[in-house]
Order: sequence, then structure tokens, then C-alpha cells
Amino acid sequence: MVNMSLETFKTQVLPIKNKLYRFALSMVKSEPEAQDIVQEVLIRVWNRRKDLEQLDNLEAWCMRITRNLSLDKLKSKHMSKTSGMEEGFDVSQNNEMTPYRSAEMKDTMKNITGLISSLPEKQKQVIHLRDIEGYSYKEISEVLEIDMNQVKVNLFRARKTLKENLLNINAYGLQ
Amino acid sequence: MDFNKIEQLLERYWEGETSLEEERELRDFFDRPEVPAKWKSAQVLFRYFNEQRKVDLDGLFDEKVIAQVEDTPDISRGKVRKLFYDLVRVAAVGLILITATYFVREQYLEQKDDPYMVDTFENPKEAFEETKKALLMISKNFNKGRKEAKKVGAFNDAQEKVKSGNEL
Repeated sequence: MVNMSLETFKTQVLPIKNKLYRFALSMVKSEPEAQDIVQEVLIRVWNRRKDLEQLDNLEAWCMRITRNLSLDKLKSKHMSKTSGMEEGFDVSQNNEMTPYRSAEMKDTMKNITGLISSLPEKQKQVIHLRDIEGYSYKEISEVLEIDMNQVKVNLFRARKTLKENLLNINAYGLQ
Repeated sequence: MDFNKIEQLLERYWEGETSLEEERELRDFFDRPEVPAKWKSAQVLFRYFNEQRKVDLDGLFDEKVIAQVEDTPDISRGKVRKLFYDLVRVAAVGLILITATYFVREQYLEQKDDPYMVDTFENPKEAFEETKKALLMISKNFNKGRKEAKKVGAFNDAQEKVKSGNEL
């Protein structure tokens, strides 16, 4: 990628936008805010395109910046409103991102959203990158700036929690 | 579909031991409408992942970003502009030096033509006349001076006389 042109930007950087958006949304839980974050990341890529030429994984870099901006936003939100865990939980449940056929299914989907939201931040991020975006351990370690063992440990713990709680949901929810 | 294989994959999935390829297999399997009851909860989770993957930004987003990108000042164009300004600066300094040289040279040439500023005449005859004039002026003034000096001499004579008169 020698001297990124607008064309290169459109064909190689812009298509990452949805991954960035989903990642930001999984953290800030507000569509307009997530959209602002993605926009900011893309503008940063454009402004620093000279430095980014040497980068071998631009996508991981973008995801990392998305994560940092999202966490900053969360932090400032907590500072201004000091909203409790429950409030964040509610927002995610009201967020109808998953239109589903049966009302029953919809309910369970909400439960899953809530369940994933209640995971520790790092586990939540690892689950998102692995099970939704299909990233390798190496890519996840680059995005989250932790070593591969940490990635595996977080993924294992997250899936364990999900498995246990899914059985609970099932026990009195779905069937 | 080999349920035993799915069972195994699922078991390894919960342990965090599946590869990306195996996880894709699981997702594809759970995308079907009906699965055995024991896997219902797992299906919900995999469907949730599949649904999440469909969350997209709207089409207007691209336009917004591209408009903003086109608005940001181009770094390379900024460099060209900087180079241009540097050149203008160098040219301005050059212009000042040339103008200054021109005026200094003009003045020098003017002085060179002034006969009283330089010590020789081009024409020997003219030089002789000029020298004669100067010498005449000196001798005239010198004579004037001598006349005055004579008056002083008369005063001396008178003094001598007074002195000799006193001695008598």
C-alpha cells in the first residue's frame, strides 16, 4: 500500500467499518455513539495514512483504536452520570438489534444479550472478536494488546460462564 | 449430519479448544430450524452470534465519512505549498541583494566620474592647467602672508629702536 489514495481507502479501509461498528456497539451500547466512534477511527486512518503504510495488520490497528475510543467514552459516561451496572444492562436489553420470528426466541435473545453484557469487559471483548467476528487468537491478542494465553484463558472463562447460565435460562425460560 | 461429531465439537467448544473452522461448522449446524432438544440452549447462543454478525451501518455512513475525508487538508498538497513558500522566500532575499548591488554600483560609478573625488585627470594638459592654478593660488596667498609678516617686522624695528633709546 504505497501512498494510500482515496480509492485505496474506499476499497481497503471503509469495508472494515461494520466490524468496527459492531465492536464499538458491544461496548458503548448506543448506536449513534458507536457510529461516531467508527467515523473517528476512519478519519484517523486517513490522517495518518503515511504512518500506516508499513503496518501489516491495519484491521487489528483499527479495532484497537475502536476499543480505546469506546472505553474512553464509557469512562467519561461513568464520570458524568455514574450510572450503575443495572442501567447499562437495561439499555442493552431495550436495544432491539435482533428481530426474531417467535416472541419466545426474542425473549431468549434478550437474555443472551444480557448474559453477555454481564461478563467481565475483557471476556466480553474476547467472545465478541472470536465468536462474532471469527478472529484468530493472534489477531485478538493484537487488538486487545494481551498475550495469546490471556486470550485463551478469557475465552475459556467466558464460554464456561455462558454454558452454565444458558442451562439456567433453559431450565425456566425456553422449555 | 453426524450428531456425534457435533456433540464432540460442542464439548470442545465449551472448553475453548475448537479451531475457527470447527466453530464455523457449529454455526452452520445451528442455523437450521430444528435441533435436538438438548442443544436448544446452544442453538440460541449460536443464533445470537449469527444475528449479531448482521448488524451493519447504514449506507449514508460511507458518504458522510468520504465527505469528511475529502474535506481534511491533504498532507502532500501541504508539502508542495510549503516548498512554494520557501522558494518565494529565497527569491525575495535574492531580489533584495540584486537591488542593493545595483544601487551601490550606481553610486560607485557616479563617484568615479567626479574629478575632485579622484586624484588624476585623464587629460595631461588639463592636469597641468589645474596644477598651475593651484600653485598660483598658493603663491598669491603666500605673498599676502609675507606682506603681513613685513608689518610685524616694522613693529620689531620700532621695538629695537625703543630698546636702544632706553640704553642711551
